[in-house]
Amino acid sequence: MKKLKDIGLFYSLLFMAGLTLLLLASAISTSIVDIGDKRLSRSQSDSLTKVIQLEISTIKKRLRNAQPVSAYLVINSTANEFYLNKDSTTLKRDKCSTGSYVMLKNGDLQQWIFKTPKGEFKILNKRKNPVWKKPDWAFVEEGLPVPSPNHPSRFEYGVLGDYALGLGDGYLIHGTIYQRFIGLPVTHGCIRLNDENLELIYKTMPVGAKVYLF
Amino acid sequence: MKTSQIFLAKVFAFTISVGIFLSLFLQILIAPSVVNREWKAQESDFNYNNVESSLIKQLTNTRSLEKTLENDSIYLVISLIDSSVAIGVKGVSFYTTKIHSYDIDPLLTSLHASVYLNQFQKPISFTEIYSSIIKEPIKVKIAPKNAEEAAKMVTLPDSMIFEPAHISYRAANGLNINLKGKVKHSLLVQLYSSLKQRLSVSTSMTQEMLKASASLEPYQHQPKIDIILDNVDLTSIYRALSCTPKIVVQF
Repeated sequence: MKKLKDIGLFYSLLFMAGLTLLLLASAISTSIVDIGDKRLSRSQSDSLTKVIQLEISTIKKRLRNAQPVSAYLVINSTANEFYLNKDSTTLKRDKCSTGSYVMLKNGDLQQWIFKTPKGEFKILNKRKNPVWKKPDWAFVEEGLPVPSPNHPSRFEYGVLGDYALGLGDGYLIHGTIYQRFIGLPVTHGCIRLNDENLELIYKTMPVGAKVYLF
Repeated sequence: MKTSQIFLAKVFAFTISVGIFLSLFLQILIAPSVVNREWKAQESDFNYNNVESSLIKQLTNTRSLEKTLENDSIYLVISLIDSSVAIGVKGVSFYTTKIHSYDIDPLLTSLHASVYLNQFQKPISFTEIYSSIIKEPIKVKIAPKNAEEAAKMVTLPDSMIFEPAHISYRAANGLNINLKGKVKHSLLVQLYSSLKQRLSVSTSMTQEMLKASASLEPYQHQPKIDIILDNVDLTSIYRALSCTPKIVVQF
């Protein structure tokens, strides 16, 4: 019995020693790297330094040129927030509403996903007192029959607020009569703002200004 | 069994065990150097030795940002230099957030500047991605048959509460980037979880190494960067990125 205990103790100690060795190896190994390389002469390295500095400044210039020149809007569709920026300054940060991620299924043939797209967009047009021309899904969602393309029931007045800014493919930045839902993901893909923020963005952002949606 | 036989068996077992441990020890010891050598061997386009390493690092970082000018889809920029994470498109970083804390593999910080240039002068593509965050929280709604049915239908908006989550990106060159949500705990719990994490790292490393030994394959070191971010930012960033995102890493 004593022998068994001795053997158990021996292997436990051996295992512990081995484990300590491995942990020690993992701790010191990552700081050992091979840095042996051929060296350049002083004049070669000086001229190379100048070439590198020139390349860096050229790239930095290219990157600066890519920055938006006018005010631009950033929409965070996860946090349902917007950031109105100019240069590196945030002019306004507040709540907005974005796509609900609802997938509306009408039988097997029709379906729509109400999500806000992601990427770089531009303000393509600006309108005052916009009229909403209801698409097919708006009728399907309400359990109503879909009317003909230009039927009077498709046109709704006042529901988009005082202004609308078009981003293309039917996506708009607009106002709402449901102000209490601002800050929640409840839209059909458009960006909804309260009246005050909508006016600010309408007045600050020209046609062609960048909008980043993520 | 005689005492001498027991003694011999002990010596034999001891020798075998020490041999195994020593071989594993050596494997772990050289594994980072192997990674370094492999990384150095890839597309070494110029001899940048003797040039100030800070300048080479600056060149690497600007080159990788230059490459983003061509990116139409949203990419991630992780800059440990100024402790920030940003997302951008076509060279414009439009949303930046601060890193709460980070942990970087010592191998990465001790890389020679020319190896840093080789590996990080362009955005990295990731081959394996794991996340505990739902990419698109889609809710299916069946169209109502009439207006009455529509009036009764209520669809609740997606929750605006963001629980701590994590995302793991693994690059083809073996680099692992782990983005984690910030957990609000007391100092003691934080200390405990930090120790637990360190222990789990060591354990997983030992496990990987033992697995490699069992399958007679050399142990491969996988350098990693762990980053803690705000939970809302973490979810926002994950959902913003495509399924195969490009990531610029600067440190």
